[in-house]
This record gives sequence, structure tokens and C-alpha cells, in this order.
Amino acid sequence: MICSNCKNSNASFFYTQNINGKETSVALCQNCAAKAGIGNTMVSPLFGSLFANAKANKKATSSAKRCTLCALTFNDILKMGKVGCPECYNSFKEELKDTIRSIHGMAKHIGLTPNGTEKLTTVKKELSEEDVLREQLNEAIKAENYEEAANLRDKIKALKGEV
Amino acid sequence: MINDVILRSRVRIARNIKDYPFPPVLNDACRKEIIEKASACALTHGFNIVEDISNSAYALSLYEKNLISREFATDKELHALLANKTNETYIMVCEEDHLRIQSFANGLDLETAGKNALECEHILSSKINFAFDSELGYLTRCPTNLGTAMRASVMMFLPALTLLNRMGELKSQLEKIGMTIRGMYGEGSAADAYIYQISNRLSLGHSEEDLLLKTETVAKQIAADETAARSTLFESNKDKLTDKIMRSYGVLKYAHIISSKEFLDAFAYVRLGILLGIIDGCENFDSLLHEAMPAHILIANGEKANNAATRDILRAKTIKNVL
Repeated sequence: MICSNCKNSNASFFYTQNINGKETSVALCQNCAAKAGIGNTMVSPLFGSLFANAKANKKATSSAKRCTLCALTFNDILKMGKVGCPECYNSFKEELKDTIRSIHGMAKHIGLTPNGTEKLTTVKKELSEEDVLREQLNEAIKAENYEEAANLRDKIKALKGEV
Repeated sequence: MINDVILRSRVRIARNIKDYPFPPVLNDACRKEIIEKASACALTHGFNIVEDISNSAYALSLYEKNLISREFATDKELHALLANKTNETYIMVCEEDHLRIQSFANGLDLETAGKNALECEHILSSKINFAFDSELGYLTRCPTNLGTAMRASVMMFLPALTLLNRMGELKSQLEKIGMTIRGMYGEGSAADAYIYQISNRLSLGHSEEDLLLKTETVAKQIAADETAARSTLFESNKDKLTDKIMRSYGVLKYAHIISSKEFLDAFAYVRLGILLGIIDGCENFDSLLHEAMPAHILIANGEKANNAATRDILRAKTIKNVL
């Protein structure tokens, strides 16, 4: 069978994808599969490492479930270090939780929303020196760099005239 | 003064359409639908389709101007580029994400770039149903872009901080506050011509306004540090630095063959020399940053520039014409 993407080489990866309820069989050659991150050749080194903890891997190997929209497995996602479609975040919610947490911490979205009325008007306030130090302090605590955290805390105190 | 350091501001916003897989696995029919959806919306709001994107030299010349990504410029799959009339805002359709809006402004002006990018987003979101999760924000192919999916960046010329070996320290400082620094051409690129891009690293848990403000505040601080470093560098190495600048000027002015790499190295020193008042500035000097790049030379000279050796000679001519 010829690759359904480049229509050039022989296909060696086969799966079914579901777009808007329409099921299509996809057959990709080694190159196109690698490009889509499905083959074994493309591993994003930095990002892939975030999946390297045993917990995530255990979850991945114990499940052959596929995303309901793009039909990728969690193993496919691990290999490319990127998800296949927006629905992957729902299909693999549990599996992706640790990874998202290791990138973003406990952060939750703030800002624009599709139906929101919030609109950017202007860059209003200036970040104060204290804001910058506080941000550095949070990062230091997150990185368990307590010596630096103590230094930063002292700086903030000095700034507020508490010393 | 600040714009001697900050060349340009850019705001990028990624958006994906609900119920479609991400571009790498996307078939042509879906790509076409996405391009049609984006065009239908943007064309009625003053955007045009950049038809020449299918010409590979032209696409690469847009990359050399940092207007589109290298991946997008060289993508063999179906994709499209939309640009507004003033060429300040571009929409890359079917890049890593379905839609990547990029707005540019000269010097340090994230407010304008941010406003234009968000206006464009607003136009598209009025007709297109974007993939969104109340906790994760806008859903993107790479989980690092979740949240606002916005990257606010500034392109900075930092020769003095580089030559005084301060970049390592700056890099680790930036990482501590959730920012990142890359080369002129983004991810994985070397800092040619001592030009860097500084931007927010993550966008989940930070509002658009905060990201713009944070990048702007940090950029101002770095610009002040670079300006001070230039004085230090000049005062402590006056003769050596002047010699290096004049030799670089000599290379640009008199070389008969010059590679991109040699050009970028000399360009950085000459630009520094102009800013320090060692060399008289010349009009359009900064335009060489694009004009002397391979795809620009190819477009200006036609087929004879297909060969790299010939291109190095044509580059030298192009530079001489400007100096």
C-alpha cells in the first residue's frame, strides 16, 4: 500500500482516525510517520525527558487505548513529545497530568477565553522590583534552592524596609 | 537609545480548531478546510493570501526576515500564509498548530504588537471554534505552549554583554523568572551577529497582559545592562575593539568573496562601531541583515545565484552597494 500522505513510498504504519465523526484509514510510510512522530525515529530530547519518570511510563505501557479523535496511543505521544490533537488532552488526561505539572507546576489558565469579554487594552502597570524578586523567590523554592530563596527573601525584606 | 539594543518586538499566539488533529497527522482535505475557514474570516478583515509562499526562495526570504518559521517556509504539505495590508500581522495556517498569529513592531513596542495580534485573534475567534480547556487554556500541539499560547518576544543586539561573557549569567537569570533566550532564528539557532530573541518560556497561569508586561520590563533592564556594558567594553579595550571594528569594516567594504557566517560576524562589529560612533552610519545598513542572506540574494540575482560559491561573490557585491 502506498503512503496516504506523500503518495510516494510504501506504507508501513496503519491506523484509523476519526475527524468530525468520519472514520478514515491512514497508512503512512516510515518518513511521513516519523514526521508525524508515530515512528521510532523522532524523539524530542528535552521534552521527551519529562515523560521519563516510571509513573508515566507505567501508565503508558499498561494501556493500549487510543485518542478518540486522532487515534494515537499514549506511547505515540511519548515518542514525539507532542500530542496528536486537542482531544488528546481529554483522552489522556490522567496520563498527561504529571507531564503538564512538571512543565507548568500547578498553574491554571488565566487570561482570554473563547467566549470571554476580556480584551487587552494596554500595558498598564510597571512590574515593581519586588514583583520580580518575588517571582525569582517562587522559582527558587520550586527548584528547592533554599539558600538562594533565603537571600531573595532578605532582599525583599530590605526593599520593604523591614530590616 | 533603547532601540540601539532592541531591534524588534513580536507577539505570537497559537490557536487550534476544535475537532481537527494537529497538522503533522492532518490530511490534505482537512488542511484545505482549515485554510478555507481561516481565509474566509481573515480576508473580510483586510488580510490577503500570500500566494508566493509556494515559491521556495520567496518563502525562505520571509524566514530570513524572521516573519515565518523555517519549518513553515520549507513545509512540503499544504499550508497557507495570510498577511494584513501593512505586513505587520501574519497568520501561518497549518504550522505546528493550526493557526499561528504573529504581529511585529519596530524597536521595543510589545504593546502595539500584542494589540494587533490579539485583534487578529479576536477576528478569527468570532467565526472559528477554538480548542480550549478551562484549566489548560488554549490547547496546543506542544504542551509547553498551553495557557494563553502567547509568546511575547524581543529581538536584541547584545554584542557587549556577549563579548564580556555575561550571556551565561543572563541566561540563567532569565530562566529563573520563566523567560528564555535563543538565537536570531529562534529555537536551536546560534546567536549569529550577537542578535538574540528573548521571550516568555511558559504561558499557562499568566495572562496576556502579564506576559507582555513582563517581557517588556525584562527587555528594558537588559537594554540598560547592554548600554552600560558597551561603555565598559569600549573604555577597557578601546584600541583592540576599534581595531576589530575597522578590520570588520574592511571585510565588508573590500572582500570579493564573503560567506553568510563571515558577513554576520563582521556585521555585528560594524553595527557596534556605528553605535559607538567609531564609524559613520550609512543608510540601510540594517537592511543588509536580510539582503545579504542566501534566499534574498537568490531572488535579487536569479538562477545564477543557485550556486553557493557564486552567491558568496554576489553577497560581497550586495554589501559594497550599501556601504
